[in-house]
Amino acid sequence: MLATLAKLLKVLNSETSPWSLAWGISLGMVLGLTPLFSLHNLLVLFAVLALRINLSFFLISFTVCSGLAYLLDPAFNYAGELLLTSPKLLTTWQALYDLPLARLAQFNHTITLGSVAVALVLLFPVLVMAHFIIINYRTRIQIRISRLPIVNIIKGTKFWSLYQKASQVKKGLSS
Amino acid sequence: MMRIIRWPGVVGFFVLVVVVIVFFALFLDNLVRAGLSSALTRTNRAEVNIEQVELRWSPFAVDIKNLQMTNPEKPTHNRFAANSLRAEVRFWELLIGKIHVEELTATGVQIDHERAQPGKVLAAAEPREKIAVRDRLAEFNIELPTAKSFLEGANIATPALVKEAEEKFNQREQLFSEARKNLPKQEALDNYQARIEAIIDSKPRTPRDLLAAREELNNIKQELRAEKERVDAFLAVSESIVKDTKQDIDEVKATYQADLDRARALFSFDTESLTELSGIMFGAQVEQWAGYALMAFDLIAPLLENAKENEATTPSRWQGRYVDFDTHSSPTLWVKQAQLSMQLEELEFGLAMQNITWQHERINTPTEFQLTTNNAPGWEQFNFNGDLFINNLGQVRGKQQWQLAGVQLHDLELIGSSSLSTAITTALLNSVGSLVINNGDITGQGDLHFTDTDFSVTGEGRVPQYFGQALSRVNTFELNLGLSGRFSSPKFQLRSDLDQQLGTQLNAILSTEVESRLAEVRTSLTSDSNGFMSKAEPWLVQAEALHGQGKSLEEGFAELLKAEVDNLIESESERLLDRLKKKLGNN
Repeated sequence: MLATLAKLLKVLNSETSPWSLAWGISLGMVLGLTPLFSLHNLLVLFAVLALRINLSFFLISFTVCSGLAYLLDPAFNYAGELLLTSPKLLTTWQALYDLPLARLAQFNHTITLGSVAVALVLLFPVLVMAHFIIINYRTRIQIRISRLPIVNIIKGTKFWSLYQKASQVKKGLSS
Repeated sequence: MMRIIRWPGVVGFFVLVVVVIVFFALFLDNLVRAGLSSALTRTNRAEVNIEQVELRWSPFAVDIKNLQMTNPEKPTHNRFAANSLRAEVRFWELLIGKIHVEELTATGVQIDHERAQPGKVLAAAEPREKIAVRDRLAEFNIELPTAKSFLEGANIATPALVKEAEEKFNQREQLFSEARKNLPKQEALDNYQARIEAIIDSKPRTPRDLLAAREELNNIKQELRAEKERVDAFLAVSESIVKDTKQDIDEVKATYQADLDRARALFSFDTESLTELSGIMFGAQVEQWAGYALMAFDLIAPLLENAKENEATTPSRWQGRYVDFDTHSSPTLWVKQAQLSMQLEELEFGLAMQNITWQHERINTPTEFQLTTNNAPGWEQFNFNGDLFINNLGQVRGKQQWQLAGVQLHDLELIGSSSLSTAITTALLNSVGSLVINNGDITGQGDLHFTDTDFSVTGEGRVPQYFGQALSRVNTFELNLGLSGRFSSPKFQLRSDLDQQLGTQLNAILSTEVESRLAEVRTSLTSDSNGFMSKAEPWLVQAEALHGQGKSLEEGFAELLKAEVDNLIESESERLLDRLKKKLGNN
């Protein structure tokens, strides 16, 4: 647990692209909020693995959002029901119903569609917000935090030594 | 561009995909087996076991080996079992939660087959009441009661009544004797007559004579008044005694007759009471045949009803639901063709069914079924078909008909117990029937015509003996099977002319025995009542005569008490005297 936290802090304080971290958080949210064994999650997984998206933040985001999804399933069910029973969208759904790929995506399942819709709506706000927070953390918050007395106490703990160790390994690998 | 792609990640993704595919290739059959067992168990409302499932991809099909579906009403047996079952399923419909089976074939199908272990039931059905054959036969009291057992029975009223009547009679006889002493003696009456005649003979002319005559008459009247009071007391007692004794005698006579009638009724067979005999003999067998006749409905209907209920249940907010956008409105479950081959009592049958679904209005076609047989030697005719339609409101309607001719029955056990065993050794069976289902209610009937029948009956006691003799005289009979109730749990009613035939035969066999036992009862009852009747009846005649005599005296005294001297002497004298003479006995 401490090692994971150290790793996360290391990544946060490193020079890793803020977009990489922000995409990790937002795509982890998509995977976490929607049913795991869905066709669209195959695409999400491919994107996370194939592109330079931070895996640590992706996994943390996925774990946290999976827990949230259990609580939010009734809301997703409501959203899906609303969309799937909307008369304006009926022709779209009927057209999709004839497409094998759409059937594989199980678009007509209320929780699947509801959760995907909510995740897509949240994707870009979460991405932009995460990017903003990471940038601000690195430029302002990180320096202020390092000056706090509590941080000096932390620097004397096992956690700090782990963090340092991780940083040295990173430096060694990069040199 | 190349910087943003993580090549080890791309490789890792494909490795992951391959691992997932391999995992499913290895374990998909087992996953499907578990999923199918669970879904079928929910639909069947009782445990469903599947030994093995294999998936075929082209055409997409599911092969199931050794499928066993527990009967929820009888968990020790399977409602349906099949050695192998193959369903060619439309893959794309499956992905959106629809099961469209192009062709379903099942071999080694067994209905009501005993399980190795009782299956678990999700919702236990109420057990049906079963009465043992021996208990049912006991209701008919085929064993005749002996005269002794009848006479010792609590139903016989004559002996107790006679005893009670005798005691009352003795008391009344004594009371009557006492009261009789109040009647005037003959000498006293003669004396009154002589004194009145003396007054008349004196023919008083002078006032003195008249006064003397009047005084004498007043004296007589005074004495007569006292006599009349005693006669009145006698009449008061004797009237109630005569009336009660007469009533007792009538009651004894009536009870004697009622006891005799009861004995006659008990000893003789009432054919009306044998209306259920054929039900006992053929009930189990006919129920089994009716079960075969309703096999198609039994297989389809409960499953469709349960599946429909499962679908109609409001989906959980935590599970969601599939919304149907099918412009063709195809059913959720649709088995287009099904062919089941099964063995029933050494015969192979094929049950073909088309369009199994509970959403018939979507395809505008009912579920149809036909039963055929290939190896039924001697069967001259066999037609069996029907259909079933469930509309959008969930109302079920359907029909079924059958004709069967030339079935040769051999050694068909009807009742099998150590105390009584009955079997048809040989018989020829023809049957025709039909049934209709309307809004889930079933009405129908089937006629089973048996000819050239030969029965065998064995067992302990006299019942098998009576049965065997009676059945040996039966050559032809009809069984009429009535069907009613809900189609998912039909009720059977059985009527037969066999009951009447058996009743007549049993009556004929037992008539001699009945007469001798009846004579024995009559003798016993007569001896019980004779003692009392021989005393009471003659006594009653005498008592009635004395009562009449007392009444005449009382009337005579009353008239005399009204008489005056002038009347006596003149015009009325002769008439009064004549009447008095008559009342007192013509002397």
